[in-house]
Amino acid sequence: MSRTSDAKIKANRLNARASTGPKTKQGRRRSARNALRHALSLSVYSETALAEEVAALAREIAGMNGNAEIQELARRVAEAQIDLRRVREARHQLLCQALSNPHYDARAKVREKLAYMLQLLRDDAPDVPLTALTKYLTTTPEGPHKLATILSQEIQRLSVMDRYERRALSRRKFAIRAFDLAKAYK
Amino acid sequence: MRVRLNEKTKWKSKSSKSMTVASTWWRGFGEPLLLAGEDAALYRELHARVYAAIQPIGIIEDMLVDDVTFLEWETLRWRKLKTALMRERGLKALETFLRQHLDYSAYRDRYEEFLADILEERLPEDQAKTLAHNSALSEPEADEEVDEILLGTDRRVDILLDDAKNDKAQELAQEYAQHDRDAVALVDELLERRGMSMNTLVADALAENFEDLERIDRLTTLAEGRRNASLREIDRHRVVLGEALRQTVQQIEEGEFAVIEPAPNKGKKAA
Repeated sequence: MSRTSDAKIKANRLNARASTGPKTKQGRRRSARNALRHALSLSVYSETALAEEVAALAREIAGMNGNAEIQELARRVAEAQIDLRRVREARHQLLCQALSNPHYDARAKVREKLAYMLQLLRDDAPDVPLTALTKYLTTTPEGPHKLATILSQEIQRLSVMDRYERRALSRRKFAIRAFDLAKAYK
Repeated sequence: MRVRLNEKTKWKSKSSKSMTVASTWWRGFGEPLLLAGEDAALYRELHARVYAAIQPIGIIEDMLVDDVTFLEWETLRWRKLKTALMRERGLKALETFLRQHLDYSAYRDRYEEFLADILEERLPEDQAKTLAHNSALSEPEADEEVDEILLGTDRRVDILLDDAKNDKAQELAQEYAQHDRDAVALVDELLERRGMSMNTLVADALAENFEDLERIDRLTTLAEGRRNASLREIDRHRVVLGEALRQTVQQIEEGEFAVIEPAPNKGKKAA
C-alpha cells in the first residue's frame, strides 16, 4: 500500500480550509441535520417537549405517594410509552406525506415513464395521440392501490420503524412489570 | 390541545364545557393517528367500546386500552385495504376482459352517442343524430358521409370505437360489482363463452399482485399479535394487583384477628 505523500497531505489540508461549508450558525445547524432521517435512534430526552411529556406522564403513573424507586420505574414506563408514540407518529407521518402527494408513484413506474418519454423524443418515435400520452404520464395510483404502492415502496423505512416500535413495546412491557411488582409489594 | 381527565369519565374542554366521554384516548397519549379518509368518530367509537369492555383501572391500563384500540384499528385498516384491493383488482381484470371481448352490439349505443356529439359540431342536432344512428348500424352511405366529415377533423372512427368500447366496459364492470341483473347476465355469458368464470379472472389478477397482499397480511398479523399482547398485559397487570390486594387483605385480617394466647393458670384449679 502506498503512503500518502506529505505534499498531498499538505495540499488536502489547504483545500479543506478553503472548503465552502456552511458558515452561519443557522447553516451549520441545518447541515448538522443532513444525515438525520427519522431521529428515532435518539433518546426521547433529546427533545424538550418529549422530555416534558415523559416527566408529566411519569408523575401521573407514580401517583402522589410514590417513593424514589416507584418514581424511577414510572419514569421508565413513561419513557417507553412516549417513545412508542413517537415511533408511531413518525410512521404515520411517512404514510400521510406519501398519501397526500398527488404525484406519488412506484419508482419503477416513474423510470418506465421516463424511458418512454425518451423513446418519443427519437426521430423514429411512434405517433402517439396527445390525450393518450397525457393520460399515461399523469396517471398515478389512487385509492387502495396508492396505499399498497406506498407500503411496497417504503418497505425498508417501514421495517426500520417497525423494529423501533417492537423495541419500545418490549421496553414498556418490562417497565410496567417492574413497576407493578414494586408497587404491589412495597 | 391536551386536557386533563377529571376523574373517570368527565373532562373539561378549553371552552369549559363539561362533556361525558367513555374514553381517555386523548389523555397524554396524543390524538388518534388516522390516515386520509378514515373517520375520527369511528375511532372514538371503537375506543369507547374497548374502554367499556375492559373498564381500565389506572393510567397503565388506560395506556394499554389506548394501545388495544390503536392496534385493533390498524388490524381493521389492513383488512379493509386487502378487501378493497382485491375488489379493485378483480374489477380491473373484468374491465380488461370486457375491453377485449365485448361485442359491438353491446357498445353500439355508446358509439352512436359519441359520434353524434362530434357530428353536432358540424351538422344540425337532428341530422347529426340520424347520421350517427345510421352509421352505428353500419349503413355504407352513412359511413361514407361520416368518414368525409371526420376527415376535416382530428377525430378517427377507430379511436371513437375504442373509446366507446372502453367506456362501456368500465360501466359494465361497475354495474357487475353492484350486482345489476342485466350486467351480471351479460358478463356471465361472455365469460362462459370463453370458458372462464369470475373466480378464475380474479385469481389471475391476484396472482400478479400476490406480494402486495402478502405484505398487507403480514401487517395485519403483526397488529393482531401486538393487540393480543396488550390484552395479555392487562390480564397480567390485574393478576399482580389482585395478588397484592389479596396479601394486603390477609395482612389486615391477621392484624384484626390476632390469635390471643391463653394466659397461664396461676394456681386456680379447674372446676
